[in-house]
Amino acid sequence: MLRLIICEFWKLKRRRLFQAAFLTTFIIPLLYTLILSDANLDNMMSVVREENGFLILMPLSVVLAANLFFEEHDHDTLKNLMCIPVSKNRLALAKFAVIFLFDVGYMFVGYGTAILLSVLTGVPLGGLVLQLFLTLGTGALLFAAAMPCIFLVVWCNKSYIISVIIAFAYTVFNYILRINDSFMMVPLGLNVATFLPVPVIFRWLYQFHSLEDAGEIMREFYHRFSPYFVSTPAVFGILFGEGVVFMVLMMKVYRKQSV
Amino acid sequence: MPEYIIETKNLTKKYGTQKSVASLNIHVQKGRIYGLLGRNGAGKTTTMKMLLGLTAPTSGEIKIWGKSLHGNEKKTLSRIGSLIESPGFYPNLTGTENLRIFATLRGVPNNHAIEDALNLVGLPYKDKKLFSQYSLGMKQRLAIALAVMHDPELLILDEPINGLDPIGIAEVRSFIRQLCDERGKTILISSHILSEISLLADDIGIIDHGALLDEESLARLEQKSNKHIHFTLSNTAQAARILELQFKENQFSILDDHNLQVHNLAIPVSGMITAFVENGLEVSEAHTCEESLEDYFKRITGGEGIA
Repeated sequence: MLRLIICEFWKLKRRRLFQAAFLTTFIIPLLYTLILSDANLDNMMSVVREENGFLILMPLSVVLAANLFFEEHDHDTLKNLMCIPVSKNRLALAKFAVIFLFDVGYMFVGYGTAILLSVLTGVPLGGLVLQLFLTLGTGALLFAAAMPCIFLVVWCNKSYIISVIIAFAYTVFNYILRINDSFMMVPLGLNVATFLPVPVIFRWLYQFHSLEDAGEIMREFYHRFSPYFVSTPAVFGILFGEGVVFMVLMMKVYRKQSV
Repeated sequence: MPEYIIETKNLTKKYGTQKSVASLNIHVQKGRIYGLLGRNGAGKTTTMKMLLGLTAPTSGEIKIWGKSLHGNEKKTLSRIGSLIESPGFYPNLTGTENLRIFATLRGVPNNHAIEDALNLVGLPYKDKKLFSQYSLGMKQRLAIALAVMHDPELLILDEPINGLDPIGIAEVRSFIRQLCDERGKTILISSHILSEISLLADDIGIIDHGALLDEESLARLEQKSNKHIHFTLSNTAQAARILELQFKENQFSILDDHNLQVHNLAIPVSGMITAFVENGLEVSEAHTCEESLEDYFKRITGGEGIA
């Protein structure tokens, strides 16, 4: 399995999309630092997790997945792999591992960027371990949150343009859901809001926001919202379950695609 | 009893109601080159895909090294090198990088395997040229390098000379022959080019519309080709009477009033000419005709011919 994962990374050599994707992790934290003079580490990390993660990493993961899952068919290499033989299930698992490592790596680079910008602008550093856990955790959760969309892309088995459209529609849809009380302020249980990945991740992340510099309105909002926060085991449990379901479905679809 | 490396029994592949391969029984002997000959769309690639487990047969059985392929794919496929249809590689990588991926996945232990395979097909090792910049001939060579890199016992090569220039074709032909003769590899090769198969194969299977029409050694196939003596003379009816009465021969065909073919080559041509002339016939032409492999192919496939 490790060999398969290493080979998946080798296949990305000279792929500009993959290289350019990593550069985007610097953009939003840099803009945030330049625009806001009262930046603090907590806000900087929130920007990395929420804007970088949910707005940029989510569609990037889907586009990367489309690349990974379509490349064997596009370049007619699947037959070479099948003749080794490499099973389609293992191949799909290796591709999932690459997407997972990409997501976590992307968030880690964002974390590093935020620390670097904080040091350069004289923002005090504190709670770095918690921030690291939250940032890497968000990367892992975003991987699972992207799975329904990746499944749709693999199932449709259409062109990259369709994949990009699906990815951006999914990203915007999810980002809108996080400001909708009907999905955010619902207790955990057998309801739609519990199984919508992005609102659940936000309900987990919001509880870690520092309220030190927050105004009255913000404090009141957090107080009103706090009953709907989702615990760490719950968010990882829900997203892990959803991720596994969609990965299994995807492997079934991938297995059926002909050589 | 010859040792068969590949043996199929009633191998059939249907796509919907269309039979792509119908009850195919092929027998590939150890240490020999088997040429699967057929026109485009005859079912060669589908057959090879089934032999490599790339597509499941609708019915029938495949035995490789005496064991059913189904359920033994892992052990069997690791001993086979293959090239199916067009060469498939990652365009953003060099030839060496491409081979390294497949060598790693195959667990090829020999560090020089990639270099050796590239040298064998005349491609440079650690060249900076990307696969996307390769010519069709270079792509085909790289695919052959991939097929032989792990030193397989059996090679399944689907149209391996596609895209190669005449020198490349000769090189690949001699290299395939060498693999068989010097290293004892068993090779199944497909082509729609009859001359290539006849230059390379020890045994030939002729496939048409998914069915195997004939399977013989090249030598036996050449023997089976039709030979006859063709006469052009003034009256074929009278000539026929002479053959029947004087030579007690009835293996001949009258083509028209002036052309006749005698299929028994044992009768001396000079004797027949003398007899015809003595009986008042004018003989303007007499020659021995030998049917080529191509003519034979045309005959058994219903006259549609081959490239």
